[in-house]
Amino acid sequence: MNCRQNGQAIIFGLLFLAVVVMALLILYNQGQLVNDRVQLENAADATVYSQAKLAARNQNFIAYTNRSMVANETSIGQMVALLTWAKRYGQIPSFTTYPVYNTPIAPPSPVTFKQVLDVVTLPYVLMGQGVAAPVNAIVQVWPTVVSYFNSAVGVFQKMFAVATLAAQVETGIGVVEDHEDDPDNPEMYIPVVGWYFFTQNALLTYFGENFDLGNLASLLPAGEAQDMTRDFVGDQIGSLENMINDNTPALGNKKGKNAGGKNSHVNTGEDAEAKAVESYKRYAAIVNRNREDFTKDRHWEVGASIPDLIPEITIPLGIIKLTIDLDFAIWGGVAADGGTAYVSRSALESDADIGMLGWSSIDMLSFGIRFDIGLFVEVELCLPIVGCNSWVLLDIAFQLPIGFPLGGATHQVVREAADAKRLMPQWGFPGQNDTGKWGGDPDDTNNNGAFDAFHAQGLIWGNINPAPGMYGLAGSRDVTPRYAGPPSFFSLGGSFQESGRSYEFTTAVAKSLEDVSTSDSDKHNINSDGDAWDSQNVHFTNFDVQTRSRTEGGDGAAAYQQFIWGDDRPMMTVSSAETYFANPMQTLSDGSAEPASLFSPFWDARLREPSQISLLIATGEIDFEDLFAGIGNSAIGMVGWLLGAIGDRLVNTGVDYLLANVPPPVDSIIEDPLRDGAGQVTDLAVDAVVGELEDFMP
Amino acid sequence: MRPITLAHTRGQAMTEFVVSVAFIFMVLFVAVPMFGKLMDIKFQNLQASRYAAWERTVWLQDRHAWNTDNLAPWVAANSNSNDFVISNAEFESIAVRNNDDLANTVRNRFFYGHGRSVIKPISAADTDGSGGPASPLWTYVQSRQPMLAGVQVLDTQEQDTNSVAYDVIGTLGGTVNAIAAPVNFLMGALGAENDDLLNIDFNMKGYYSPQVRASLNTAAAKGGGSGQWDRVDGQWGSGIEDMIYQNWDGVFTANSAILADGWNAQSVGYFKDRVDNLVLSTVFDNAVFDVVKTIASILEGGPGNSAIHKIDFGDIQVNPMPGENGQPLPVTCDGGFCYYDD
Repeated sequence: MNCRQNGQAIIFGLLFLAVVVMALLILYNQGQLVNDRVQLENAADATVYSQAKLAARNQNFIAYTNRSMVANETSIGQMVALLTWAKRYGQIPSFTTYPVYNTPIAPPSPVTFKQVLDVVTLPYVLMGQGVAAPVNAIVQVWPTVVSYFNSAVGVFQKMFAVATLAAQVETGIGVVEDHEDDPDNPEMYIPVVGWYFFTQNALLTYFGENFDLGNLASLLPAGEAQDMTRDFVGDQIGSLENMINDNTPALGNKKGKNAGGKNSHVNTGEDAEAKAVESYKRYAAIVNRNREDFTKDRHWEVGASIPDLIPEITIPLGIIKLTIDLDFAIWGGVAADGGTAYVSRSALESDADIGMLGWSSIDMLSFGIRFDIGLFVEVELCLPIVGCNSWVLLDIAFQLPIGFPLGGATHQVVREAADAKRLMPQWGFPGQNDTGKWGGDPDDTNNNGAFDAFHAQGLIWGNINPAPGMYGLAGSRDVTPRYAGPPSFFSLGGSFQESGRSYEFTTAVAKSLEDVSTSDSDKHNINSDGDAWDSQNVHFTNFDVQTRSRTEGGDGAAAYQQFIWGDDRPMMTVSSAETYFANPMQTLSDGSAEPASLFSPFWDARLREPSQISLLIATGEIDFEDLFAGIGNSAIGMVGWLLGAIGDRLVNTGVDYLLANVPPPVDSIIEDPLRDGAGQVTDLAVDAVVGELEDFMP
Repeated sequence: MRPITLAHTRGQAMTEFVVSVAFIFMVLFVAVPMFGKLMDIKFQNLQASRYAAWERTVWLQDRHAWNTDNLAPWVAANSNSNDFVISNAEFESIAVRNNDDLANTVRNRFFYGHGRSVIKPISAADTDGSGGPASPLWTYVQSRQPMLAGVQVLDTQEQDTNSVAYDVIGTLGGTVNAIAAPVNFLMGALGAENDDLLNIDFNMKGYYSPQVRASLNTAAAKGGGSGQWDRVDGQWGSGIEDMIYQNWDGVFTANSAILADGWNAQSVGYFKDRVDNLVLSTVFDNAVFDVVKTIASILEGGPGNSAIHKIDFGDIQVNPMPGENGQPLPVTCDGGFCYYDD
């Protein structure tokens, strides 16, 4: 009995020790797995955030350059405005031939109004002709220079968009690599599904309108499809739209409808034309809103007035009190009005109409008198106990202007002479106080723009008298067909203007569980000089924590999962981000926040929860080929195709548009450098990115 | 052979128990806590590296971050720092934190002054020097000495955005700069204000990849840090806990990286300054034209009354896009004239 008890305690002790050692290993392995998992998530968060940040850069770059284009555009208007302002003075001699002015001022003296006016207005004529000559020379060149420059900026936008996509690939790789513990021995990688997410975002951002959500809904659980889709693409249930629209005049006509296959994702459909028209209407409205004060409204007046001298009359009639106020004021003097607008001769309903956008400007100068007449009648009834109440019976006010012509001028800068207006009715009618278009101020009753009734005689004389020949009748003198048309530019899709949020950016980052330094993987190289503790002989696979998910197993789902994650035992994570618009330093006049646009550079990036649909794609529940058929099944294939296709679709189309609008011989001069520059981005840079990706992928 | 008697076996179980318990207790009371402490420091180090990178998405390194590199001298002289406002207007006041202050916040928010009975709140003072001792949890089991020797935040300098495509853009921008140089020179002589015309002076950097290194005080471990766990001569040294340093220098290293600058406008001036680089009409915004328009305005009743005096060459409007209740205002088009009815 005693012999059997020998060493009994140490057996229990060793068993207990084994349990404790195993617990220690579990603790260690768990710690390592958690550490690597956190590191993986850190890398994924930083990667997707950086990709979104690059997208925000692109959107801000578009905003800065769009504003530059608007400012350049308005500078054309400014020059045209300066020209008509000067021409209006320079053409005074053509207006003093107005028949009425041939009558003597004080018969029998033969001195006529014309003679007096010619003397009085001489300084104005000299100034007008002195300024008009050099400004006219500038107007012959400036619209061409500026509109070509704007088109070049538009091409630069597209090059930067492609550069951004390339940078998103490179930065994604760089951020993951810079999270490595040992950069010389990288373990983390972005798997195929990560590059699919990148491709998906780029396609939706630029070509979202080509996709149909009907297919997606059929892949989702019934009853949850709508919420999940909303989480995935925002409030665009029904039909998707591009987040960023590439607006190029006549682009919709040039590009065919979807032809199917891989490239169907980057063609434009019929909707493109309608969207382009909407975008250019918006562009025109922004340009008109950004006209500086001189371009928008050139009202000034000098004169004297006799104020209202008729007192207000109050007639008490017992419990009734009648108040009558008759206003009658007279003003006499000289008044000038003018305005310049970015307009189209057509109603802007089709792609072709966009090309008719151009600058039109008018300035008028008249002298005369203006009567301000008003009548106000109010009755007040006062009753005991009830108190007093009053009613306005009449409240009218109007002006009666009588102006005589002194000067007037118009000028138009258009792409083709045929796009110009020719007759006054195409501009407006006397008395048409269309404030904002041809000058005017809604807050000033004496400032109603160039078509104020005060200028009625001048406006009509300008049309019927061949000497001034206003409105485009005089042909090349008043029409400069040197405008290259509105620029190609990027704009924000309608629903994104309302939401201020981009499509979801998602990335996936993984590392093989074999690379996690647990006792299983033996990365610590526990080595005791080749004895039994050598790493080759020790495998604590029982301590492997099961983080493998569906990659385990031999079924098709596991094989698919292994394919999209690039490993049969991956530790994996996904992370999502988005760009959003928030202007922290300016508010609207009603105190609310500025709506999102690609005209204000207040885009930033933030992390967001991955959408359910992204998670379903990541876990292999949804095959991404079911969503975007034919985009390829390798990271290099997808990314290479995407960058190449977008480069061709955006950059080369932009270059073609620019060259098509540049006349000889300038087109031949700029074509080579322009295509070389575009080629550097679309070919060299893309090749470099694909090469880098080939090195990066496991 | 003598038979084993009760007297000979007396105390054997006790001996075996003591020996086995010694091993068990060594694991339970030395190894397990050590692992726990080490992992805690390692996790904290990992989180600190994330923090060091992400802080740059909030705090600019300085106001001169990119103004001089890769730019022509006449552009570099026009410092972009003027675009960054530091004022009482908080909404437009740029947040700046230099690398030393950032490193101090890393130390104070992750490593020092925590683990006490009083929770240490985040405060502006975190940018100052060390905020107290390290957590009492981070002490060696045997020696009772603090484990943490120090924390370094390295590689904090802003770097170029890693992209061949950006390099191409930069090259194109450089070409445009060269073309614009004589124009800028001539217009500068006339008093033009836009001396960075045609310069693509966006920040091509904005990338950060900091590293945080938490160093353990190896010498403070029981045994002085020279212990060996697999010595064959049975001389394990005077401590157990310092054996971990046999093949390890006691430094936890964690790397992180992020692109922090999205080029969003930091002030209205910043907004305008980026826009006017590509506005050609700014060349007319000079003293000569100012004189001409002032003279011309006399014929229109003087500068205050005239139209011509309002002309503003190179005008750049950076007002918000029109809207109502935060939503975009619809465009009205009438006879080819499109406008916002606001």
